Amino acid sequence: MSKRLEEFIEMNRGEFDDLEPSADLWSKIEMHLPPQYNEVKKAEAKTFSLGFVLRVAASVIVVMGIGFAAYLRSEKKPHIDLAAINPIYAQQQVEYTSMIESKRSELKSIAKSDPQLYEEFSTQIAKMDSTYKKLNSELSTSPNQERVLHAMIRNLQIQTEVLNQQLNVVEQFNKMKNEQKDDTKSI
Amino acid sequence: MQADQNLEAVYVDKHYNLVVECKQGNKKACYELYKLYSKAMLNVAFRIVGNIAEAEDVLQEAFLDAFNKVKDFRQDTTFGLWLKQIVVNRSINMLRKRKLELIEMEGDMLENIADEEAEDDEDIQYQAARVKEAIKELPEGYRLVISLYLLEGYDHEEIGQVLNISENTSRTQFLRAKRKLIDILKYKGITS
Repeated sequence: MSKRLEEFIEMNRGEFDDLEPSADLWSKIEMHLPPQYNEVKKAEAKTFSLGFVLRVAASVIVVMGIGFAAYLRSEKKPHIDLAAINPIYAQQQVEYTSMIESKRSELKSIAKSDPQLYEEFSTQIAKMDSTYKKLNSELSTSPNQERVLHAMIRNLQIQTEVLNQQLNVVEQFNKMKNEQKDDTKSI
Repeated sequence: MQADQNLEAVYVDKHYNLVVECKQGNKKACYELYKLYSKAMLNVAFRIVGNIAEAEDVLQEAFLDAFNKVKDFRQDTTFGLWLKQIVVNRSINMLRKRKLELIEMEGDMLENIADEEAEDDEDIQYQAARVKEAIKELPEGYRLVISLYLLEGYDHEEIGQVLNISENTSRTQFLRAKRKLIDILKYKGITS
């Protein structure tokens, strides 16, 4: 029997597949797809939102932790009402601190013209200020708060006096300079 | 099935991964598989069931069946061959629903085909479109065997299995179908 038909079909196999499925066939298949294909999609969406929630939760925890730590730190430095220990001392403390502040800023003006002198002066003050701070930290635990506070005020007084002297020195020094200038000018 | 195997061997790796993705529930991968195979499979189904609406129904069911079972598909053959099996089986089931008398074919076998004259198709100028039309005009049983053998690349053993007939019956039916086809082509060639 001739094999011409077989050979012909084999040679032209592609031409026998000429039908095209209708365009909406996939959507029909898609509609009836087993649930696993749609579930997986949903599961993916869920994991994404879960990850998102976790990230949000983590950042909330971090923020809360920072806030709590800050709270604990502020708790460590209990604010002591100086007026309750001694109202007069309390008032003096406020007066002296503001005075010292203004004098120190005044002294700062020589920092440029005479940095060496300024450094010397400010280290003196810094030493006294560190003593003041030590006293201040002792204040909360001290059995005799009034004495500590008194010492603090004394420290502030001395600081003020030292600053006054320093400023005097600066003033005199400046005067001398000016006089020297005048002298050189007059000559 | 040689032609199919050669064709698919070239793409076997690419499609292999698509099938893996489809197994994992990736709908897009399944759609890619659909795009790759739907046309060929529609034509397979059409040649067996003989009408386009039923062929599309078969195609839809076959793909759904495949996507349902793909997790159990061990990929020791290509997705195309596996899917084709589903399409062929579903197409034949569709025919059976229409009460195709495959048993009738068994009776035909009693005739001795050795007596038949050798086919002479030397004077036929084959044209794909004409051959296709002629195949459509064949009785259902003939169309089935000739399509499976000539176009789907099934051998008679495989045809026997899917149609639940003996290998010999398949062989006989094929020869009869072929002769009938050539007759149709000759007749058409003269009249047209």
